[in-house]
Amino acid sequence: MRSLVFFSEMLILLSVVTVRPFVGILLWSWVSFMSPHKLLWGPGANLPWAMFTIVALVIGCLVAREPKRIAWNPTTVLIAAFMLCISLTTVTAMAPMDDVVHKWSAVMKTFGVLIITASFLTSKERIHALIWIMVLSLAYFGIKGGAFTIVQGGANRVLGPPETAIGDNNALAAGLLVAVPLMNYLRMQSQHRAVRIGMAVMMVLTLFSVVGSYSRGALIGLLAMSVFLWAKSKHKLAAAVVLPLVVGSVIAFMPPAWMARMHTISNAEDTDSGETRMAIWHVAWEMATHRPLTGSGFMGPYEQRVVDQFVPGAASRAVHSIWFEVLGEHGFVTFFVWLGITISGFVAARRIIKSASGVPELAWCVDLAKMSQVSIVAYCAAGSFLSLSYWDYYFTILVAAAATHEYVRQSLGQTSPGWVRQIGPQSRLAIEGGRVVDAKARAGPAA
Amino acid sequence: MNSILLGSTLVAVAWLSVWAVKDHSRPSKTWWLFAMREPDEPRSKARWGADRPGAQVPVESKPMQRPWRRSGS
Repeated sequence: MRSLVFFSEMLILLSVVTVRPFVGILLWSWVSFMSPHKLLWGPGANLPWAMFTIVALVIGCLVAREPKRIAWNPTTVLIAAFMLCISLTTVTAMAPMDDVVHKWSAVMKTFGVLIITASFLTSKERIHALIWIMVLSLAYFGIKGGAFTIVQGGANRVLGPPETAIGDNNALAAGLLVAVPLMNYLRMQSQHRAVRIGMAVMMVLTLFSVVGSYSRGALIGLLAMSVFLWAKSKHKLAAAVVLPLVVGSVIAFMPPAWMARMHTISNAEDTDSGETRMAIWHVAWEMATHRPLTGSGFMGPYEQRVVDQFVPGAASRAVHSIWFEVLGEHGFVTFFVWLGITISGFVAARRIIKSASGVPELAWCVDLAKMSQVSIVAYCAAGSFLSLSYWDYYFTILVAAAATHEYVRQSLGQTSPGWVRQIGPQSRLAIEGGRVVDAKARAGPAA
Repeated sequence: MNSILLGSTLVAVAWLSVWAVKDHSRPSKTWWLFAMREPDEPRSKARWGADRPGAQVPVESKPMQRPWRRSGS
């Protein structure tokens, strides 16, 4: 029955994509982030739905009348540069070429669609819809995992969907942490009270799911995210009470076995997983220092023969750190390009907050920018212990932040007299009664 | 529970897809769950400005009483 409903819905939506290509972006994001077909039985589970969506999207792009222009901004330029860099490091990769090309093509598809996504984010409704689909995609696992944790008393681990980027319990927890700020954005910016309450409940259940994963990296990410969420909240006093209360209550709910596992964070180097992580990080560092321009190429740290060339005797395995994974696989040049994507997204969010604060029409942009920054912090903190370097969900947030920044710039340039108009990157000028005045000076030294 | 959650997600995705491509220049219907909150109204002078009820208006000089004159005289 599930399979039939899913199949029917996809057929209808794919036909819509051919005339309204933005639906293809939503559909691709949903299939890519949630992998709903993996939750089904029957033939529908094994069909290449992502490929079907891309085909329909390409047809839609050709047929639809809307302008087709790639949105070049610092984030998309860096994404394109990253695609070029990983293509070059693939040529010099040391692992078996079949494995390398397989991973290269998956990452290229992911980042290629990100550039297409950026070109479709031309209105606030589209950006809002993309955030919705991102939240819906992970909310399923957040709600389910949270309810599972509460019902089981936290005795069993929450796992992600198999055969996906967030299949591992650690990856799922990190992914949910990144999604929580987006849920908070929808809680703040949804029109309906029922939706806002639903988002608050969803956030609490997702926190239960994060903690129920027994991931130590996620706990560190949760604490980092909570502090940053408080720093970005409008009502700091209320947040200072509510945030520790909610996070503390969720943690207090967990059984002694969970507490015992979390206590091993302080002496992580003495545990098996801590020791092996340190060893593979050392391997990745050696790969980067010996081949600073190219690294080992995709899959290098996973290949024993390659690992032995840098640190003989060290075991090959997943790197379990976003930083060391990119460093080891691609060297320093690609690492800084990859890091630049994150920095460009963070800077775009910062610029939104600086230029759009105080404009009621752009309040949603400010909220989204703040929550994007919280998501970035959550990813960087929790990802330090995970192999999620090429996770499309995270990079979609950065693309959305860059698109929102462009929206803010255009909106401020078109606002009627009385609103702040941005002229140049730094100046904030307002037009009042036909006269141009300095908005900062007018607002006083506290502004 | 899985079926309920998955079913809800399927409905939400279809609903969101329709919302995303609808004409947003028209006022939003109440049953569009995904609708964004309307922006807060800017503080109007009538309520928050200098001429709100009970507000004390700073003046640079004291008001002067002019000599009374009949209009038209």
